[in-house]
Amino acid sequence: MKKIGILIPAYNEENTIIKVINRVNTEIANNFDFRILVIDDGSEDNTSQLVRKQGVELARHPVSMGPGGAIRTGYIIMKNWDIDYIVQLDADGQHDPADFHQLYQKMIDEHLDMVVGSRFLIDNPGLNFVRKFGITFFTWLINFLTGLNLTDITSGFRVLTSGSLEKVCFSSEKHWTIEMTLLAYKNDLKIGEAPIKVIERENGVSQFNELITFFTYPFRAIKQILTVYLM
Amino acid sequence: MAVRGIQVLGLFLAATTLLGLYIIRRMERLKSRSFIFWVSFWSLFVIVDIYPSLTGYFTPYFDLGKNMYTLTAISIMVLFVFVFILSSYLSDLNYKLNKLIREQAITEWRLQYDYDENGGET
Repeated sequence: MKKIGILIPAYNEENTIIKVINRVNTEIANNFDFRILVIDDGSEDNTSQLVRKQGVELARHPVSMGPGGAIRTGYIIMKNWDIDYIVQLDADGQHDPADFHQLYQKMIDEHLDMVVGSRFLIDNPGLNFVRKFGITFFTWLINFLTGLNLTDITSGFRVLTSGSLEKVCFSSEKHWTIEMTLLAYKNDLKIGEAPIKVIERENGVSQFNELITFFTYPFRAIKQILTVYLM
Repeated sequence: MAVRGIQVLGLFLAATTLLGLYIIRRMERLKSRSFIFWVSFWSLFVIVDIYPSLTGYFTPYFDLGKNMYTLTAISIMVLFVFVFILSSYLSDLNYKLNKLIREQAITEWRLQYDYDENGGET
């Protein structure tokens, strides 16, 4: 039986985290030997307490470092785990853990090192025009720079082999997806995509609703590209 | 083109700073954004240092006397050096803070994991 580490970064997700954990338990438990690790990125609500009550492994940042920082902490912990694959998905309930099987199957069938869950390979509601435009532009830019043929560079639902972990350990604490994908490409990892559903957010607020993030994202994304290419 | 002593000094200053930047970055103690900004800034400094006549394109717009212009230019340079030192210091603090937060999170996770593995016994 394959061993899997499931990484869930969470920030103020007390309304959804238990549902996500339960869905993971239901969808993945039967076929895999797995461990769940939740990284609480300095939540100010009861996210940590709820996760602890569930008996799920938890690492908690005393203050928020951003989603990239949380995932990086998860990678550092998981580096020492005896696992074959790492699955990472959001705690806000927008990712359906059942989609993991499609990503996993794609990985096995095509001998890939990393599979990104794409929201654009099937019809998905919910993304506003500005955000969709931003994702499309940066996806096009990365494809142009690398020759890859991806459709959703910013997706946080990913599966990767444990052997790839060291090669994609990015440095960004906030917007990490572009840097991670470029590092994977630079290290000759085989990257693919599989479709995922997006469930509309019931609670909480997306980070992209924040005005500052909206204006700073293009600069941060360009910085990530330069970081990978200059370093 | 005759090279003056001040230009050699400027080049030495820029080379030392660029080397320092590279070393700090390799140690991951400088954020990539700061690294890119300062490498760009000091690279520009090197170009202006080697070809000082390039600044001549801008002098008519400032309409300053020669001495005043020199003083202003030196003051701006000094300010940039101070900003650079401050920026490096903040970047280093940010790095140390992130490291501390991460280490604390990992230590707490490990303690809890060991506790659970031992059946709730310390």
